[in-house]
Amino acid sequence: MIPQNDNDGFVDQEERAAAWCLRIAERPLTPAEQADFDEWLAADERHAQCFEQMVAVWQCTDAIAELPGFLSLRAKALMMMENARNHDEQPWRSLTRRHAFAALTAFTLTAGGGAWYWAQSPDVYATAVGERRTVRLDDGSSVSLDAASRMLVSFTDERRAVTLERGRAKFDVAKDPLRPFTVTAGSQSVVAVGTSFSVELLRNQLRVLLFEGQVAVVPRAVAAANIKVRRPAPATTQLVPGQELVADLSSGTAEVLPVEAERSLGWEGGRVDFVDMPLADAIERINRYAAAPIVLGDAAAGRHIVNGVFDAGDTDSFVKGVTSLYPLSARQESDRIIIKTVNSDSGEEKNSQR
Amino acid sequence: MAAESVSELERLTRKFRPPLIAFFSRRVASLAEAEDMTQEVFVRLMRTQANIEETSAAYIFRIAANLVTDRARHDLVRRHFSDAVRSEGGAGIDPLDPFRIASARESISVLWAAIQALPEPTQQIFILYRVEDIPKQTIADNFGFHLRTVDKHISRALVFITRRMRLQP
Repeated sequence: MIPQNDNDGFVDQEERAAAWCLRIAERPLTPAEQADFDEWLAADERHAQCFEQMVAVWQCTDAIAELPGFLSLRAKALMMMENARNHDEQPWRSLTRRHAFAALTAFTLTAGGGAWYWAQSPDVYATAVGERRTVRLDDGSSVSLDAASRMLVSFTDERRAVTLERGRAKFDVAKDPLRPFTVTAGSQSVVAVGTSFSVELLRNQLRVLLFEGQVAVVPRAVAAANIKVRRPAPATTQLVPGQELVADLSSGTAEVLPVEAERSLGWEGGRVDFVDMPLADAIERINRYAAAPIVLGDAAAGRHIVNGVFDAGDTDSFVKGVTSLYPLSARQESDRIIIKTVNSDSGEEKNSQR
Repeated sequence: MAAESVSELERLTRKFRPPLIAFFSRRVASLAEAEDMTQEVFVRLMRTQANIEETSAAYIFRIAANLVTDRARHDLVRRHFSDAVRSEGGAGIDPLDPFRIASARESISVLWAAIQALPEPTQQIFILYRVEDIPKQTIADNFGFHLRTVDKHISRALVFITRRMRLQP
């Protein structure tokens, strides 16, 4: 332990340590700087210690960057920069693509997006692998939570806000025109008025399926889009019953597809249903019920297209199904099942038709 | 796609350069050498990782550890640095070891509380730079600050958080 205030000199040294850490983060040190750094380290053994502590903080920040609570601080920081810029009369300086990408990523990661207006900590509902649960919310709405899912619920007098952090949920929303019901997942928000719909988060995809009533899907990346280039906010998508919106979370593109609502609700009755879904996404669904999760051995294997209906929890049938249909092999390894391309050296080319 | 890989590399560089330098500095004779080895880590990373976005801290750590094994045989260990680390006992976190960091739950909650306690706009500037990977110049332009002021906020945040971390038992 370093005494904090043993002398003023040490406080200066802390600042020096921080400055070194920041300079090292930016770019390689010049030979002259390297010599300075060596000299500084050699001058006092506490300098090295102090430097390491700064680096540990630097590094540890990643560990909390994606905690739900921290996402609200990130959103706040981005909003503050956005506001500062808008107040500024200076002409807009063009930003690099890299920066725009970073900001967009940040918003995409803000799965708890919109959280900055939450005064209190939200209620958390989560299900384990293979578990399904129906939750009745304070306003009379009911939520059916699929396996391996997690959502945060935060109600105020003005709004009913739900964040789906992972998995899938179906919402039967009680009418309350004065308090909009929103579900945020990935980069999108679903705004509903007295309605029945489901929201699902996959690896890189958001699916919103409307059964009845009316919903609008609003990209949350509005601010990020403004940072990127000055253009109107991405359009809101209105869904009508029987339609499903499939949004790509990294590109922000979305398409609306017709669906067979009854089939798509199979998961509530213990069935898992796939229509032209890449294996990688299908596995994510299957794993919500699997005691031994399936893991892909190579990326090419994940691109095969899966169709069919399976019983939730019957991982074996699913594995048998896909391995008999495609040049894939499955192997049980302790607590997981690995599916990979047979002869995976050439797998990459062979499957490029997808 | 190529443009994004480059930016991803820049992001990784900013994130991992300090821990890599600290890691190598403990194990080799001079910073010049630590700097070389840090560069070498990124060169190897570019060569071996097709999809750099999926690079994990554990993977980078392994490359770094391999480099040390390859080279350390004929290097002198830096006495003062390794002594300092040793005298800290179990409190020292190897800055590159994600498993130890993840297991240090208490440190995480102290870190979390410290960041929350940062004043405005120091907190926001630190987050924009460190977490959102926004260049200092962009932050400066947007807030209407000098680059030096942005530097000062980031550095002040680092010192503030580190002091809080040190106060925990």
